[in-house]
Amino acid sequence: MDIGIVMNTMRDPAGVPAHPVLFQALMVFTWVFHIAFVHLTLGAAGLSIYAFHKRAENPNWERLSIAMTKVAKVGVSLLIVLGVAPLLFTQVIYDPQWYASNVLSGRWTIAFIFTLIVAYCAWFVFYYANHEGAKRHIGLYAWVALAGC
Amino acid sequence: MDMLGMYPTFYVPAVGTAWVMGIIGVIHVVASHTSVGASFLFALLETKAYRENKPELMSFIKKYGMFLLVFSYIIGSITGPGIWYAITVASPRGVGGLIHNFVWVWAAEWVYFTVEVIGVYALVYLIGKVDPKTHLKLTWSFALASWATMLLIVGILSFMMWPGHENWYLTGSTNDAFYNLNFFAHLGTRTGSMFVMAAVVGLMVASRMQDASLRASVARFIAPVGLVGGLFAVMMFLYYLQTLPNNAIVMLNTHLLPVYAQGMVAVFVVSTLWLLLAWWKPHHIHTSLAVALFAFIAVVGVWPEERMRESMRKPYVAGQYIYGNQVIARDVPGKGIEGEVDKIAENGLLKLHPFIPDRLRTVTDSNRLEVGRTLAKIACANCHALESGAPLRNIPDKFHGATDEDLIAAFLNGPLKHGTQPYMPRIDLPEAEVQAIAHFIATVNKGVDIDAVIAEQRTSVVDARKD
Repeated sequence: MDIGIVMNTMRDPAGVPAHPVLFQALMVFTWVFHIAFVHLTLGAAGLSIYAFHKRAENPNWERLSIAMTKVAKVGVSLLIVLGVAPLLFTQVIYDPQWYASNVLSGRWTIAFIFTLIVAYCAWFVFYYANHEGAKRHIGLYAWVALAGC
Repeated sequence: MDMLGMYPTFYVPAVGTAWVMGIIGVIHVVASHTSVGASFLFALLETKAYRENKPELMSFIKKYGMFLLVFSYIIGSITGPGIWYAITVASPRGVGGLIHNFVWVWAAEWVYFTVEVIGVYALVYLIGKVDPKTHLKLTWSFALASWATMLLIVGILSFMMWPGHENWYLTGSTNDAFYNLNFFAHLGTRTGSMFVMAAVVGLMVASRMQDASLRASVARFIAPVGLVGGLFAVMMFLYYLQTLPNNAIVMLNTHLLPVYAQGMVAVFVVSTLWLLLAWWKPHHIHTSLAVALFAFIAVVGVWPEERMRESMRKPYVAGQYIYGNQVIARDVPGKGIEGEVDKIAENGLLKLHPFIPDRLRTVTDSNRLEVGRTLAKIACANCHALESGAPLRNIPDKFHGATDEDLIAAFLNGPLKHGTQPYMPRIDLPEAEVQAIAHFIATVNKGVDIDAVIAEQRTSVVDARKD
């Protein structure tokens, strides 16, 4: 069985409604924004946690932690929105690879959704608790959230 | 050799991918309908606040907006792509068919979705920071963008039920697919019910407000909006029932309404009474009651409604041309798509499916059970669990525990081969494959540990080769 033939057969027979290069360009263009916010969010979350644990040393760490918590909160919701477009365009031109890999790793795909919900909720708990003089144990929520993301 | 563009099957024991999709879908529908409905409540309420110069009403919008940001937008925007992931693993060819049809519609929806998410942040955080008229314009833009996401996705969802006419099959045009027969009825039903959801959640938020007179004026404002929305939803739902294909009507009358009709009436009566109470005696809306009502509507209202829409569509997943088991049911000349049922009848799934392991491509005595299980997963598991007693229309119970292979094969070679079950696909398989599936089902019904037997058979084959 020739893998090239199989991949060709698995392409949707309906074809693509415009030149594939257009979708490829849109995919890369929209992906850039998605991944930029992914980096921003993970970086902000990491920095926020680091600063949270250092806040006893200097009040500036506390201010930084609180600010970065907000950045990560808004960042997650934007990275999700911005992730939808590349998800769409990927599936238009790379359907054989995308669907085969998703189905074969189906439990990871589905687990990802629920992990993200739990992580996002944990981050919100941290966001509401992370103000001046906050208790140390709330950092746990932040760690759960970061692990989830 | 000829191949079909089929993908592997992701099998979730007992509940199937159908329930995974259902659970994520219901969470999404509750969150998204609340958000879209609330956007219009905000716009209407803010118009009142602006015209009658009542800036205190804005404090409710701010509170509700924050509530939505925390719950609805997080949960709604994760479960939106979540549905996408779930349908991808459940029906890769179904979602592929939709994407290749509607890519630009989806792209347009995404633009509105982006406006909506940025809009909700702007709306909440700019209260009191820009002049009221600008803010009012912002809120109306946000509401229209929110509803546009619903409008566009409903065109796609209602195409999944059916195009309702032959045009699309011949032209393949996105417009013929989008403006299908049940588009307006479906959009109307969701538009009406989003006001009910938003009003019910709005009462939850209002019940937490300190100022009693403000709480009362807000409740008196949103309750009638919810009531009108609910009445509109019911009328549009009755219209919707008239736009359904025959297979859906059969499924509805024989399987769905007997189970869900009472619940639907109960949801209508209870939510109407609740909104009337909020209108008449706004001081009586306690948070615990408001939360209970919301949970009741989500579980007894939304879950059955989404489940019915998914089930009624069967045997198809999209456009009455892709079966639930991923097989293309008919030709779509407008798109160059060819039906696959007859090809499968002639050559068999074992030969045509790209993901069958080579050792299973020919049925032998030592692999019949495993082949049968593989074929059952491919051909049946999108709608049926394979374990007896499982909640997703499990096959063993459908055969009433029959252990007679001939009896099971008779069903496969009869109604199933000829496609005479209105809500089941036509599955016409070569005799060897029918026998393998019948053998598998009979073996499950005998209470044998299938995994152990298959493992044993595989080792004995490997041992035989070594010898």
